Amino acid sequence: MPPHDSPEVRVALVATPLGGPPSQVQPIGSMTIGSYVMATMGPAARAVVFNFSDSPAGRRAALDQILAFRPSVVGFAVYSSHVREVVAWAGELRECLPGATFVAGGPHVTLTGAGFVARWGKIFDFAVLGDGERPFLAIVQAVRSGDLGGLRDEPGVGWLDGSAVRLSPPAEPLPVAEWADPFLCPVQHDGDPLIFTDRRDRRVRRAVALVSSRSCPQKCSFCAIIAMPGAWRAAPTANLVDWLVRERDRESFDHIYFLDANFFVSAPRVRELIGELHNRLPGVTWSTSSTVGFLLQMAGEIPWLIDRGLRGVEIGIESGSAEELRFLNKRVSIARNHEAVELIQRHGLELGLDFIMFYPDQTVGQLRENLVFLQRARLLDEEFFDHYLNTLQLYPGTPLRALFEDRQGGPFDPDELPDPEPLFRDAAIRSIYQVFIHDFAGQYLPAIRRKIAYLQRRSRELRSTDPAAGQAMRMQAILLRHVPFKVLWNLCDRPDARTASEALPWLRDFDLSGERIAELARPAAAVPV
Amino acid sequence: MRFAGFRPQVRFLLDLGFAYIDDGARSFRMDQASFGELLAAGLTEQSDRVVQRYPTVFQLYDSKPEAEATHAASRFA
Repeated sequence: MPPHDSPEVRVALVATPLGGPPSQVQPIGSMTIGSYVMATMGPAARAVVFNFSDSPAGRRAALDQILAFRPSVVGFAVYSSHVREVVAWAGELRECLPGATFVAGGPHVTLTGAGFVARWGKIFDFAVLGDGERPFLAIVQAVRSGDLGGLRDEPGVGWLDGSAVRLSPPAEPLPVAEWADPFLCPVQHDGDPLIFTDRRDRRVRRAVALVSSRSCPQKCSFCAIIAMPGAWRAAPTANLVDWLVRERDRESFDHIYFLDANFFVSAPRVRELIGELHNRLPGVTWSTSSTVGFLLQMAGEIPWLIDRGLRGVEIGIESGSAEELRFLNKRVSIARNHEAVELIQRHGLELGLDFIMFYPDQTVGQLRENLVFLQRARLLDEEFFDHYLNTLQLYPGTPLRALFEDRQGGPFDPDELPDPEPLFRDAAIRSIYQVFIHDFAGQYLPAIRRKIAYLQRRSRELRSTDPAAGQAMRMQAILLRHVPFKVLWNLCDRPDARTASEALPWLRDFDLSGERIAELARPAAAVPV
Repeated sequence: MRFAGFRPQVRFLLDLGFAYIDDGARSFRMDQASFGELLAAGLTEQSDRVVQRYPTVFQLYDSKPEAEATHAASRFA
């Protein structure tokens, strides 16, 4: 390839839909990579993140936006939930950009390494493994110089040489002092802006997202993070706060999502970071994620953190079954899980609930334990229903995926998360799963979600003009929110049910008029827990 | 002695082991068992304290039957 003759190398970093229902996902990894390239190369490189994770535009329209940018390098962040989607995007784009260099990175590429290169090396010229900053920078610099041959010596790069897979030595994790300000790289995004609904202060806040640390010291057997190279590490506080202050000068925000795997690992770091953040950006709130143990180690400091902007914590509870927690190597007890939920509720924080409702070796008793946990932990009225629907995902590189591959006598498709249905050992659980996921969640839950949203909005509108009607709507919303619990609980009693309406007869002649919803309040329809 | 019963605008429902009480402006939740104890306390000499603690939910009535009647009347559906 000839040396680049334009004043800058244009780098497009593409975030495609992640698979499953549309969801707003922040392309943090792509922002980090693009920013590192821009910080290092200055005007010699121009990177843009094209975030189509929740874009209303179809693939063709999205690709047109990328083509209009005329990139020389196109990078894709690949997750295990959407490999073939990314490959399809890259394949189409490649036909339109025959001279561009295509690069794949992200968790799935790191987790599947040589296999990924073997399968998709004709679509992607290079794969980047591990921390992507340095290998990706080397690729961009090589494109600019017109000499891709030197990449053979760059750690963390894979490519196809004819039909042979070549991998350079693994890259060391990037030293934390070298992490770049992730907001340097512009993000092109036509979905909704990122917001945080602050119920404590009764306002909607414009938000930004970043990670302040990478990896996790836990060893949960289902988690792909433990299969990644590198120990837990965190950006220096001064850098993090400088990045956020500069970003706020560019575009105002008043909430920060720290999308770390485990934010509270180091209590001294949290105190230092939040203290400094509060000094430099007073009034800015924040939320984050944690495992139970690390959150509880800071239990006494939660009021101090709330005073300095803490508004929500997503916690990895995962299960209400002690046996399942051991299987997942969570190293936590049910009692500690209750303690963590109670801590968040007591302080009026938003609770994000990571919970795996279904898993392959589950018994009906254990499924019921999950429901009992939700009920005892007062988690029946959560805004979202994901925790009722989540199934254990077997990510590449994890101990659990290896276990189930051994059990079935061969590997799963390396670019797919296996379908859970054939993995259920207990026929009753398989039947419950089919009815709940396919029949109930497919046929009824979308309408129930829409109705709850309507009732909440309408009850607010009626607050002053017709308070009694608004009150009735609030009650109806509560009852509708309990429907998934009741269906699942009754399916545990009747695993032979073929439809959700057999488990909860209220679903027969399904309609969501107020009178029908109110029928759910009759004692006969309640579930005795 | 007076007795604590629900204010006219209050509605409540019992579901999945919890009581959801709506005072006309907002809903809140408590364990169904605690809710039962609260209603019972409102019919004793503790009625003043019940009203003081939940002034938007309860008010005092002159007779026990009058207060008790609000329990059934306020139940949603």
